[in-house]
Amino acid sequence: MKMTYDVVIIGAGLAGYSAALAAIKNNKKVLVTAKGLGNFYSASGYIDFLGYYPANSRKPLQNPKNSLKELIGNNPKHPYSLIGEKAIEAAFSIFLQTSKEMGLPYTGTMDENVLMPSAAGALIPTSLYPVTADKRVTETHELFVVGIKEMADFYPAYAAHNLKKQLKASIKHTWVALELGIGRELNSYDIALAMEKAEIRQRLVDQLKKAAVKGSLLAIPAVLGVKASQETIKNIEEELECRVLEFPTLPPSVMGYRLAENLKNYLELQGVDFIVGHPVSHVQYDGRICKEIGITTGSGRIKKIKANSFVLATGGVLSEGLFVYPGKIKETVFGLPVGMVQEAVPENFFNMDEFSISYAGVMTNEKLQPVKPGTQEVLYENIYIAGATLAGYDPFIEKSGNGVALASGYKAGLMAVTGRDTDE
Amino acid sequence: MNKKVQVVVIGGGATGTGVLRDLALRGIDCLLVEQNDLATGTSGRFHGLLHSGARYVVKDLNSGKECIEENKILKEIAPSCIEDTGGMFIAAKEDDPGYITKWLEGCKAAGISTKEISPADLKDQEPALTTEVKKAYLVPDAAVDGFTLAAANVLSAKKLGAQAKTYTRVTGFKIENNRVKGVFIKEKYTGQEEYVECAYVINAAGAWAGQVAEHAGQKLNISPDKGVLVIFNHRITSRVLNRLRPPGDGDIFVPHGSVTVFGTTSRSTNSPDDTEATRQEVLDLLEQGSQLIPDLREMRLIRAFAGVRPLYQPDGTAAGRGATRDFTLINHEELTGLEGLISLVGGKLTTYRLMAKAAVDHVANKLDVDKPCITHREQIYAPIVRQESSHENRLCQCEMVTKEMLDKAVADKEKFTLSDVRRLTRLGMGPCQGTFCTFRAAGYYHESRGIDVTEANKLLKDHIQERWKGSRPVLWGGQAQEAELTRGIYLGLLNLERLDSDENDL
Repeated sequence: MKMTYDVVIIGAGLAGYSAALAAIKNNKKVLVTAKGLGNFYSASGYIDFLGYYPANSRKPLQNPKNSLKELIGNNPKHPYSLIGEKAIEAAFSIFLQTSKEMGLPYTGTMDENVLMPSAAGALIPTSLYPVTADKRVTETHELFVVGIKEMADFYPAYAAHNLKKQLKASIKHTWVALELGIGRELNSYDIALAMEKAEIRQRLVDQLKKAAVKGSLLAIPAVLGVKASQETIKNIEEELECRVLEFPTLPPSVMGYRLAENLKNYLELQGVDFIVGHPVSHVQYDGRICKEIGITTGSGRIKKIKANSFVLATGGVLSEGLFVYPGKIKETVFGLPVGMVQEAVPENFFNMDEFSISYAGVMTNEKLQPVKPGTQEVLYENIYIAGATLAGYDPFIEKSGNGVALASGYKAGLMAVTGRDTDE
Repeated sequence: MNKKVQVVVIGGGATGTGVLRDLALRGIDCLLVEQNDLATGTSGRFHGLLHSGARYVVKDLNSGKECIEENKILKEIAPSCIEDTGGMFIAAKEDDPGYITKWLEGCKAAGISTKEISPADLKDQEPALTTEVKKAYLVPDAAVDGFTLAAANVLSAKKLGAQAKTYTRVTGFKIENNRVKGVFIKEKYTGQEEYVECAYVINAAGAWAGQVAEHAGQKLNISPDKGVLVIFNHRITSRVLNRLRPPGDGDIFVPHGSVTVFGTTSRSTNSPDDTEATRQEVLDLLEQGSQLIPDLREMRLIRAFAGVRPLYQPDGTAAGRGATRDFTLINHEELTGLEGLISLVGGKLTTYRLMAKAAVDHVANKLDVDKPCITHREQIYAPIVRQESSHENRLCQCEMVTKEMLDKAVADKEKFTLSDVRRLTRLGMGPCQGTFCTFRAAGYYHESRGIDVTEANKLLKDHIQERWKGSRPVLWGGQAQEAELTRGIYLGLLNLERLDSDENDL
């Protein structure tokens, strides 16, 4: 069985989906193939554009777009420098538009970082967030932090006391018990599933009424329903006469799950094909052109897929787009060389030096084509790299993971459509 | 605390805690001081093998005999510290058949049961093993938890009135007329210094015994010998696996809880605190181990660490594998005329009770106590019994640690670290190495114990850092992925690297 596409995207994370979006908007025949689900489920569902610059700075950026110019000037190998300001802006703007069309509207701007609470109660900067999260803890007078008894991964007193150190607001906290009677501790996805039931939500509302949260900003882990979260949040706000802010939890991330599901459904409606669950098992080249990839399916048969261009968005070490061996790191689909590998492992986990395993990746030119590290020599002309596979940044320290994924995915998708045409 | 006891024991490893329990069972008033937590030295940094003795029978028959006797006793008195996995000795195709004959004779002479098992049956039961097994024998090895054992010895001694102070170091001895009168001690957290009067001091500080003896002006020729160990994220074999050849590097695998400990090496080192392993040491170990477990290099390592053996060389000659693993009771009165101090050095965890008996026999005699040793007859009580773990309130999924266990672990503690809790409960010792349970434990203790939030942040960060330290030499494959997940959570999602800095606002 032979399939032919204009653009094949390998990887089902935000970078891959962003590439698919760019390609399908250009009326191309697009396939997303991935061996597993993307990293949506262990990242927050916020789009962090650039939280800190320099990466190890302690003070969050007020206006990340202003600092982007400085970053591009000083760090030519950072993915944002390769992508360029124009493409980054376009990516963010198309994402905001798409989020409305797909029914999970996001808001925010590249000119501002909003400080959101983390599950530990540390403030964390982000640029885009669902409209339901358009609330500022930094400007609130009364904050109420809510924990759910059955959920093992959140402790409201701990978060509230840490927030207290950073905010001037009056901060209270409480537990609610959902009485699910399951007999084991639950994760955020389990709770979000339970919250789909009106009767369970009512238990939450009733207990919070007693806790007298009226008029306050209610900070609650992102578990308020898997699907209909917007209505759920609106209902709770009306019943309790307060505002509700969901914040990201430890994995599994329900916010990330919502984003993944909505994007995937949207892309499918636009005509993008998906084959998820099987790794790329062979690759065929003609000189510096990738002609075809093969996917071994469950039955053991190899599905051969031809395409004009390929976007590699398989992620970094966490998602096995890169694999670490003693003393070296390999790219797992095309065997591309990995650059910016440092030998030293920092002694202190919490120090803010960029960490080699996060920092290493495939080096590219400004079209996001892979190049031989240390040179501008293009290795394959019709392969474009997006997301955490890229070298030159530490998303965890600088808070740029989803931003780089979104922007590089968009640029790679665009290049996959137009890149070679402009060459020829 | 009583400022006067009959005996002060220095060192909270298996030996020191064993001595404390023995003293207490003979009605001798005693105090143990340990510079860190219990079992933070070599007793917590070894493979966790309760020897059958079979490893020693060819070179040192007496050690083999001692091991099998103690092995039987400990299985009786300390079942909550031991998992009776059984053990096996495997001769690979390159191993010397002549050694097998000598080994079988030795086991017979020592009274260690051996049962031959066919390579086919073995492959069936232990599928990870190499198919190139020449000979295989089952022996009564077992897995022992050094942390639980030390804590259980102390708890059992405390029930009889003994005292123990952790995070307290000996800073000096008071000596008058060539006789020990007492020791000066200092608490780590409070900085408080005290003097404790005593008739006798038993130095059981293991690799640190030389440093302790120096405080009394005594010289002990301890040669610290480093052994590197690694931990895999699953049980590779169901039994303890030994190689049937003269003891060497990388020939012991011990299943523990949800993981496997594999080691060791034997290299002289300058310092008893040299407990970090290097990547090259780990790769060398894997090279050795893959002769028994062919897929070893593909298996997921979760950490590497080193322990330091306190090898004692009276004449300072033999070192490394050549040095005796036997223990020595040093009566300083015979050496230098100093009365009231004995040092207990060398040995191995399996024979700790016997070492303690020898020391306490000596001291009891000096103190005119005629009660005999009964440590082989009395049960040892573990402070936390893992079988009590319920499904509800589990905070550590890998090792099934519940909120109740966390409560128990700190019930008698003013101040503690999550590492102290880990040693008692196995919190964070499993495959995820604390990625999820560290956050949970910090949040839980913050609320249940009313710990100040800055302290709770420190509790969390110190534990993540401690786990990080062990994973640094093995950051590849699955463990590199796990490290990225941990960074993604604690840095990316929680932004904890910047918490407690006052600049984090706009």
